[in-house]
Amino acid sequence: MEELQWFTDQVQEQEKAMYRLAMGILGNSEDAADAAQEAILTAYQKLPTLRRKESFRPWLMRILTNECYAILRRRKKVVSLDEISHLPAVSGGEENLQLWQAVCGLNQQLRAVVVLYYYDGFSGKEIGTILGITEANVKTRLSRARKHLRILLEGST
Amino acid sequence: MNLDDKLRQKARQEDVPVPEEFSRRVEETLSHLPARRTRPHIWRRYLGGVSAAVVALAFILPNSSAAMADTMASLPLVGPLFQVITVRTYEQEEGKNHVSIAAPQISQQGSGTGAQEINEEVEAYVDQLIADYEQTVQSDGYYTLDVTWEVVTNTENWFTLRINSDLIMASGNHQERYYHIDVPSGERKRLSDLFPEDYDYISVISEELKTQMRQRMEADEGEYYWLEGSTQLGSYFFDAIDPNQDFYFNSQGNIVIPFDKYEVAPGSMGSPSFTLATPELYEQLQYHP
Repeated sequence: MEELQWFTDQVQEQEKAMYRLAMGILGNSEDAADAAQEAILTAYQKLPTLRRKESFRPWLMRILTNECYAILRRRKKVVSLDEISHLPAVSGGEENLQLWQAVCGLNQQLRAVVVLYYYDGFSGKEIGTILGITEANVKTRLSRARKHLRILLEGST
Repeated sequence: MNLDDKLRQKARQEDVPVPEEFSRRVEETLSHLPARRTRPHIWRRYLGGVSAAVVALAFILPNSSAAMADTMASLPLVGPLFQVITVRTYEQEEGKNHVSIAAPQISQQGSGTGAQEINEEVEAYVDQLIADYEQTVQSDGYYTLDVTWEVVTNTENWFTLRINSDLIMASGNHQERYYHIDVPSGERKRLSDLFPEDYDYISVISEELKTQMRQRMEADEGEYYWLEGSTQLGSYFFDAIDPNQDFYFNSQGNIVIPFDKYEVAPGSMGSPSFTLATPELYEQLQYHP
């Protein structure tokens, strides 16, 4: 019971981060909720395999990433820059969401890296592990994302 | 302040709103986490959807009831040595909840303890399903559960009973359990019984499964398994089967390995199954359907 409570608390703490990452990869909130649900169930089932409790956050994000990509593949969604470059506008609190709106304007590959790096504070190495790409690839994507974000945020920073 | 610092600062300042529906799904999932089960099967639930009214008491028909006597009188004959009947039914339909459980019992002629052993296990399994249901309906939910049984194989050599459970809570989850009896001896058999003691069937089967998973992924982008080396995304890899992994013989006499949802692939892959083709495996087989 103690473990269940611990797990519940941890997931609740990560709810916002889960939403951002799933949105970053999947691009719509309905799919994001599906992925989060799958990830929570999988994580709970796999919890005994998590040796270091302090690794829970990146571990959960990696499971969530797996579920997001599985949904993408399963639904045969071809994620191209063109298709994903215009996510639905964010509603509510618009005046302080310039970055999020700018992130939504990025393509899928860049969005996930930006979300994990700037919002969640993961290192390049951790992001590589979560997304299943090399650290060098993370840096390349971040570099590209910065160029886009600089343009997108110009005049609002 | 450089761009990186500005972006970090902005990210900290911004409070990205999480949609209510997303939060609700997370909360519902957390509040209905199933107890972890030991292998061979994991009972997973899908949650979400609409809140439902608490339903009234369900009922169980005991073996001694008049209704059961009628059922007993119309036994479907499924084989010369083994018969299967529905000994308990559990039905409930109210509001958004619908539950229908048909619990079978095997009757066995001749020697052997296979039927008795399986009956006890099935009874415990059904009890657990009912307990899960009763616990769930006390909270909000949208619950549809159908449990049925089916005789997969019934020859002079082999008997297999399958219990199907289909659970729908916003999404669906299908689960199967298989129970086998070696007909000549009347004894219950599991996967480990099929091969000689010194034969490493676990490695042979596991390797074939991994090969098949790779082939499926190569053939279809929509297929995805937790397999080391085949994907950049996996962190939890299928390595080897459980010594008593579930299985059944298909109509061609080939061994089929069914997996539950989440066992070897993300939930979006459903419950995959694999028909084994390694000739060596069949040469070692000690029982045939």
